[in-house]
Order: sequence, then structure tokens, then C-alpha cells
Amino acid sequence: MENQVRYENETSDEVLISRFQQGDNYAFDLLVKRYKDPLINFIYRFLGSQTDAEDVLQETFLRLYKNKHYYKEIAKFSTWIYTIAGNLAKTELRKRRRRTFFSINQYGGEEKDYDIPDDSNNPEQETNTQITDDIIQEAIERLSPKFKEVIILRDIQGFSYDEISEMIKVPLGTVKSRVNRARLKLQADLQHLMKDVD
Amino acid sequence: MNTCDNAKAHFSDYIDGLLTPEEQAQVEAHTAVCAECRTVLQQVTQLTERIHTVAAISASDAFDQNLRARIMGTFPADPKPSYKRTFTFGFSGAAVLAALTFFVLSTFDGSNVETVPAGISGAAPKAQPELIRQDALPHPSLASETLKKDSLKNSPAHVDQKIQLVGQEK
Repeated sequence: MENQVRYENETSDEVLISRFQQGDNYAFDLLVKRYKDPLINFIYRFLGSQTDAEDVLQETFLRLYKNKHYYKEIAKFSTWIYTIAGNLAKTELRKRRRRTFFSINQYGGEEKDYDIPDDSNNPEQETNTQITDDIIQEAIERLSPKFKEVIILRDIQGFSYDEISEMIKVPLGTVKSRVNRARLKLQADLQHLMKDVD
Repeated sequence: MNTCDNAKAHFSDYIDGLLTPEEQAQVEAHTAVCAECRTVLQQVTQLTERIHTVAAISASDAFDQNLRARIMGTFPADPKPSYKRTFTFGFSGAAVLAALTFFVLSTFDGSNVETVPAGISGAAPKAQPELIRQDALPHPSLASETLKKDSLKNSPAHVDQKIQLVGQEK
């Protein structure tokens, strides 16, 4: 029992995926156990819906199960699995945009396709000096995908710039620039709530 | 780029402590004299710290079960050996073997084979398969046409049996 706990806690991701590649499905279970919560947190920040996030998370692990042999040890496992999850989340976002586009056009919508009514900007909430998690989530959702992705990876998931660069396959300088601009956009979006915050 | 834009471009690195001492000093020098940038830097810092504390969410209790069901649905466990499948493969193999045997024997010119008497062991000679008998053909000139009409002998190999007929004529 003690050995099993030690195995679960101390075995590296890379050893687990290697064992999974050799047919050890228990290693897969451990990877799911290890990553399901961090990944759903990551995907949820993208999509803003727990149900959709769980669907994408399932798809992520399904891809891992199906494509286990595509993983090569040149990259960290975490980088690889976050790349898969991020790509699937972005695909889901694109699908939503298309649905929103057609839905608004169907009712004779104008060019402002993405200007979905935003409750967080109503006067009642502006008086609220507390920046709740929901307000932050909504502000993150208003960012464009490329800014959203880096701010989630950096400020919520806590990855280094190098890791993010590897995950999203863009140069380090671009990642830093995007994080900086994303933070400035969030500040610009929420500054009316921060005037009273010391 | 003016000084404010230049300073703002370094705010993230400043917050993350990634600037060189000189760059850090430049940012601080600018924010000391620019109230707007000072406010922005202060708010970005507060917001970044606040985002770090956003409550994490967890996968639902049903997640593992749903994932397992989906994996089992997509990648069913290795099926047990099926008698039906085994029988099908066996039957197909036997059919192919029989067809091959029939093909080989039907292209074999029996007229050149001498009758083999019973061996020393006394085993009876193997029965010769019934070949296409010359007298069964309506006429040598029609033999080729007859073979073509036989649905089992439509392959070019069988059509070439005209060679056999020539040999038989000798």
C-alpha cells in the first residue's frame, strides 16, 4: 500500500506515459488523476462553462489514449497535454463563434457579431468594488483567444514563459509581449472596479 | 514610441521580476513622474495578484466514470476469440485451398501421366482427378468456346488449356 502511494506520488509524468505506451493502463489512470483538475481549470477559463470544459477534457484524455505513441520524450508531458487541451479548447471557441455568427445573422444582426450583452458592465455592478472570480472570468473571456491563452497559462496555471512558448509554439518574445498586453487589457477593462481597491 | 508606451511594454517583466537592474530603474524613474503610468502599473500588479488567487475548479465526480465509458465506447476491450469468426476464417481458408487445388488439377494434363501401379506398401494409388475428357468436348474446334462458357473456368489460365488440347491431339 505504501509502495503504491509512493509510486503514485513520485513517479514522473514521463515515466508514466512511457509505461502507458508499453501497455500499462494503470499509468494512464494515474495521469488522468494527476491532470484532470489542472486541465479542467485551464479549459474552463477558456470556455466559461463547466459542462463544455468537461467535454473538452474528456476529448483531451481520449486523444492521449488514442495517440499515446505520438508523445516523444523530447518534450515535457505537461507541455504536450496542455497543448492538446489548448488546441481543443480553441477549436471549441471557434465553433461557438460560428454558431454565434449564424445565430445573430439569422435575426438580422449587424456587424457587431461578438458584442454579446455583458452584464458585468451594468451600473449596478460598477458600484461593486469587489472584483469577484466571476468578474475576472468574464473579463478573461472577453479577451481574444491569443491573449486569453497566455494569461491563463501564465497567471492562472503558473507556467513559465519558456513553457508557454513551447506549448503554443510561438517565440518567447511574442509570449512575453502577449502576456503584457493581456494584462494591460484586463486592467483597462476592470479599472472602473479598481478605483476603490487599495 | 513615446516613454509611456515604452514603460508599459515592460510592466509584465517588471511585475515578474525579469528586468535587468537598469531596465527596472528606468521603469521606476518613469512611473515616479507619470501619474497615469503609475496608476496603471499599480492596477496591473493588483490584478495579476488577484488572478493568481482565483478559485480553482475541479472535475465533477462523474468525470472518471464518463471518461471510462467513452474510452470503452471508442476503444472496446480486445474481443474474445469468436467461434463464429474462427469458423468464418476456417471456412474461407478451406474454400480458397479447394479452389486452388481445383485450379491446379484442372490445368494438369492427365494424358501424359502414366498409371502408377500399387506401391510396395500396397497403398492404392491416389485416384486421379477427373480431367476434362477429350471425348466430353463437343468438337475440338468448340473446346475453347465450351471452356469460356463454364463459369468456373473463366480465368485466362483456363482459356490457355487450348495448349492441352493440342497436346492431346498428338
